[in-house]
Formats: sequence, structure tokens, C-alpha cells
Amino acid sequence: MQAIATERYARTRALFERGLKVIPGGIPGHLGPVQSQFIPVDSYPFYVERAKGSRFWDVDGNEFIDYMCAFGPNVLGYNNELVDQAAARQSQLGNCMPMPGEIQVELAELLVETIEIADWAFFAKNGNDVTSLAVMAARAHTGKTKTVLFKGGYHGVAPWTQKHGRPGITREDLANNIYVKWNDLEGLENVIRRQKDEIACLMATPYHHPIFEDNALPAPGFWQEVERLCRANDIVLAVDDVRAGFRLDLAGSAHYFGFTPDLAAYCKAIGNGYAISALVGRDELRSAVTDVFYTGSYWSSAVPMAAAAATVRELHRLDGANLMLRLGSALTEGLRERAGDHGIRLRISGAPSMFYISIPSDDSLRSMQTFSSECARRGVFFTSHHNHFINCSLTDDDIARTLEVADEAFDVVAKTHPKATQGE
Amino acid sequence: MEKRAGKSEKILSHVNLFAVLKAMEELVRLDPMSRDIIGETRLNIAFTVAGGGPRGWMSIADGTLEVGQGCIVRTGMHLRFVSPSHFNRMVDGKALPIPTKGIAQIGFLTGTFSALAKRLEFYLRADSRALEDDEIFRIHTRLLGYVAFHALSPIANRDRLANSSSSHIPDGDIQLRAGEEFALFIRAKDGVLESRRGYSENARCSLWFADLRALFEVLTSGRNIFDLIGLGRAGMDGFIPMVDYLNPVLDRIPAYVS
Repeated sequence: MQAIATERYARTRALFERGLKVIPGGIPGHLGPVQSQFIPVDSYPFYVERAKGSRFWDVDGNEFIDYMCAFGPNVLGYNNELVDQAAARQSQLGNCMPMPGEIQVELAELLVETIEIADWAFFAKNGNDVTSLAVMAARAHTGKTKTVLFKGGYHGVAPWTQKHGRPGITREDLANNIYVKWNDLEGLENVIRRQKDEIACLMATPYHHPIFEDNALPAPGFWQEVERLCRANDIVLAVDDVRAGFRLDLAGSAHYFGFTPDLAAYCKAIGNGYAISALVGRDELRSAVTDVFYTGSYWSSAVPMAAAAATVRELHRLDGANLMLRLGSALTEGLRERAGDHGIRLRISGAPSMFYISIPSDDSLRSMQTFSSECARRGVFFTSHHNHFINCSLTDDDIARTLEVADEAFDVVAKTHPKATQGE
Repeated sequence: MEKRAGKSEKILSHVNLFAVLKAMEELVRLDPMSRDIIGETRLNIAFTVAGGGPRGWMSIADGTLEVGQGCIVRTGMHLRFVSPSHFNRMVDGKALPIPTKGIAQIGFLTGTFSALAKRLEFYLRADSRALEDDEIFRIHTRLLGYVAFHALSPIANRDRLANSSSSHIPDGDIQLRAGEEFALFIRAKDGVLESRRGYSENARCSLWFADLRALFEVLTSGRNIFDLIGLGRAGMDGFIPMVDYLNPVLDRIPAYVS
């Protein structure tokens, strides 16, 4: 029976037991051992002491090469000096103040220059702050109520984004949502034909990156047709670029896929770990966003804005999105080859900078759970259920070491999971 | 359809037959006194509950007891109930059934069945002092798990709130187990669930408890299973979305089984 390893993760275990007494679940949310799919839990650390570049060190002193990047925010490398220095300079001037700092305007100007569709920017803290604002603004703009979403898409944790049946979620919370399948243009056309007078917004991630299943890029012409349908039916097209933003294209994931949404929501990659999110949009939506009453105690804090401005400038300097795509391609090609050496056919889906790994011959996911846990035991942090993230500080040495570890992990998978080597 | 937060007498009648009375199967396996109670009895009993209640049977033979859905051949006694609440009151010991066949076997109800029901209650309602006895604790927890996880299927298939989630469970088996002492699996097929005792040969997903104590804590003391998973005293593996969709059903069990 599994039990938390007493040696490798002794402090993790002690901290978790303390945490359980004073924090519901010990570690709330997506970083907790259950939501993070730490299977088995004794393979993984729960708490981190420090992080730098592409690596982190847990509270027991174990070192890991990290491919989750704090679920996305780490885009330049943990503790990036340029970003931290910009934040420190602003901190000396002031952070949470009675009025915003000059940096708010500077950052908005920078985002307008960077993101193709942006005529303006609105700042908040978390991705869900701005996906919710997008829905509200679409309603204010169109006078309609409903939102079309793609099944399996993730837009945050506000009640309207969750599934019926989850604790605390009522049918009424979801009453204004209409769900269609990703890449199903016919289904979307049918929905719009029937309910165009009610649909205010269509919100989607730029490509489909649900958990527990292979990620799916848009079919050729998909986005262009979605845009045409939205324009023809007075529907605000909102892209949730919270996860993919700046990892495909600094001008926006919509630019990468060749379409023009009305709104785009950003968070993770714009602050390199500092708490900030942004909704950007076209001029047509400016007035609606102005009219919506929407604010938060820390949304105008200046330090995260200074950090975000430094992050965006550094991403420009590095040509960050293309760098991460190249690094992701090198890593995933290596993983595919190593898996093949052990008779395992690995499927890599999604963008290389946000790759998802699966072993399609095993629909139980157990082969992937073993792969991830064997990597974690050897100091490489993957997950079995979620897309991964590349950051700009990843080095060739990091990739080489990762592939060594992956080779050992695939060996264990091949020996313990017959399904893994059965191919499709 | 059923009310959201409350419980329905109709669903409760299915739970009472296919989870509570079904626990007598395990009771006879685990408790020598219960096995003595059925002794040499050989009897097939049919249950018919009007008004949308269950149709099922209990078969006693060769020192074993079995409860199942549908009809049974060679029925020695047929018990009818005018409504689900009539059946539920019978399970609570507050009403009598209407025997339409096998009147001569009526002594079974007042004798063997009544004694078994008391034995089942003894274990299921065991207080904290009684549970200090290891054997009583072991049987109590196994019976409790048997009731709870057999209740899961009728609740998932009939309770609107539970079904809104369970209907999305992908096809396959979900193995539930506690140490080496308790095993039951849920078979999902086209959104309909069926609970079965024992081990699945090809479980797509597993939810396990390290031992009966961990199962007991979750079933009786409100201990959150996420806590136990973090501590390594419980765990999941395999296709986890199956358990994700099952969780809202698990949340509905206390409404029907208390």
C-alpha cells in the first residue's frame, strides 16, 4: 500500500499534516496533491522552498526540472532578475496606493503595442477575473445573455465556469451557458441559428487544451468560420488566452491562428509569477467595459504591473514565444524517441510550448501516471493529466537530463504496463 | 423527478432493497450468528413495490443469502407493498408486507428475517463503545461500505442531482477497495451504474482506502477523502474523470443512507 515516503519527502509530509489542521484540504486548489494528480502521492513533493530558472527545490532539498511552470506563470524562468528588479524598484515607490501608478498606463500601452487586437487593456489579478469580465462586457455590449462555450474548456473557477453537480454549483449558475463540441462547426451553426437572439458571447481557448485528454488544434478554417458566424450574428468573440497567451505568439494566439476576436483574456505569462491579469479588446468593446462595474482591492497594485512590463519587454527581446515553441519541439521529439526505444508509442498533442503527453494504447492513464511518478522520483516534474509548460530559461542541459530520466521512466512503464507497448 | 436536496421515498425504496437488505448477503458471510439464524432455510422471496418501487428477490439456500433485481423462479413467498413508503416503513420495522403467496411461510418474516434484521441493525448501529471490539468494528465497517456503495448505483441512476453527473461517467469499471478486506466495483455502461461485490478484472479506475479504518473515517466521521489521499491513507489511480463524475453521487448517499 502506498504511503508518503518517509525519507525523500519527510518535511513535505510533516508540513502537510500541519497544513491539514488549519487549511481545508491541506493545500487548496489546483496545487493540492489530489487536483495535481500526484499518483501515487509518495512520488511527489507538496511544498517548494525555492525556485530559479527551470528548476525548483522542494522543502526536503530535492531538485526538480520543472515542466509545469506553476501551471503557466513561469514564462521567463523563476526569479528572473530583470523582472524582480523592476518589481523591487516599483516596490520602493509604492505598490497598493490610493490611486494607480504611472506604470498602469505604461503597461496598457505596452500590451496595446504587443497584442494585435488590443486597442485597450483592463487589469485584474487572476484569469477568471477577466474571463468573467469578458462575459459581462459582451452582455453589456449586445444586450443579450447567453455564452457559447466548448465542452471541456477551462475558463476559471467562478460558478458559471464549473460543472453542474460539483459541490456549491447550481443549475442556475450555468443557465446562461450553451455547450458545443470543439471543432464542431455544424453543431455551432445549429446552436447559433436557434439562439442567435440570446447569445452575447462565444468564449474559447485558442486551441482545445482540456485535462485528461489529448489536446486539439483548430481544424483548418475553423476559427475563420467561427469569427464569421459571430460577426454575422452580433456575438462577441472572446478568446481565453490565459493559458496559451504569449506561448504561441506575442501578438496573441488569435494572431497565430489567423483570426480577430473582440476580446482576449490574459494572465499567466504576462507577469512571470507576479499576480496580474488583463482583458484586452477592440475599440468596439471599450465602452461596454467602461460601463461594467468591476473592480478589486489589489487590481491596481503597481508592483505586479512593473513586473509585467519587464516580462513583456524581455519576451520581446528573446522572441520568447518562438523560443518556447522550439524548446518544446526539441523536448517532445526526444520524449517520443525515448518512448519508442521501449516500444511505447507516445502521442504529443497541443502546441510544443504547451505539450500534452499521452500513451493512447492505455486508456486508463495508468501508464502515464507511472511515467510521471517515475520522473518525479528522479527529479523531473511532469504531470499525467494536464498540458505542460515550457519556459524561456530551459537549457539544452535541462532537456538532455530530462531525456535521460524519461528513458529510465519509460523502461519502468514498459515493464509494468503491458498496455503501454501494445500500440494503437 | 426528485427534489434536489431532499430524498425521495421511491429512490429510498430502491436503496433499501438493493443496498440495505442486500447487506444481509455480507452479514451472513461475516457473522456466524447470522449464518446460524438462516440455518437450513431454503426459500426464495419476491418483493414487488407498487408506485415505482423496486422489484427484486431474496434467495436463501445452503447457508448463503442473496438479493437481486427482477424476478426469481420457484418463489416460495411473494411480498407486495402498496407504495415505496410502505416498503420503507417495513424496512424500518414499522409496517408489515402483504404476502400474496406463501402465507405458510409467514413465520419466516417474524422469525428468521426479523432476527437477521436485528443482527444487521446491531452492526450498522453499533455505538462507539461496541466499536472498540475489533471484530464488531471490522464487520460494522464492511457492512457500512457494502450499504453505501451498493446504494450508490440506485441513487446515481434515479436521483436527478446525482444523475446529472453520473450519466457522464465513461464506460468501464471503478474499483473500490479497503485494504484486502473490502472490495466492490461499480460498472458504468452508457451512463447507468451497477454495483458488484468483489474485484473487477479490468478496472479502468480505482479508489482505494489503505485499511478499514480509513474507510470508516470517511463513511462515519465526515473525514474528507482528499485529506486521506494527501496523507497516503487513500488513493486513486487510472482514469480519474470516472471518480470525478462519481463524487457528486457519493455526496448524495447521506440523503438516503443514515
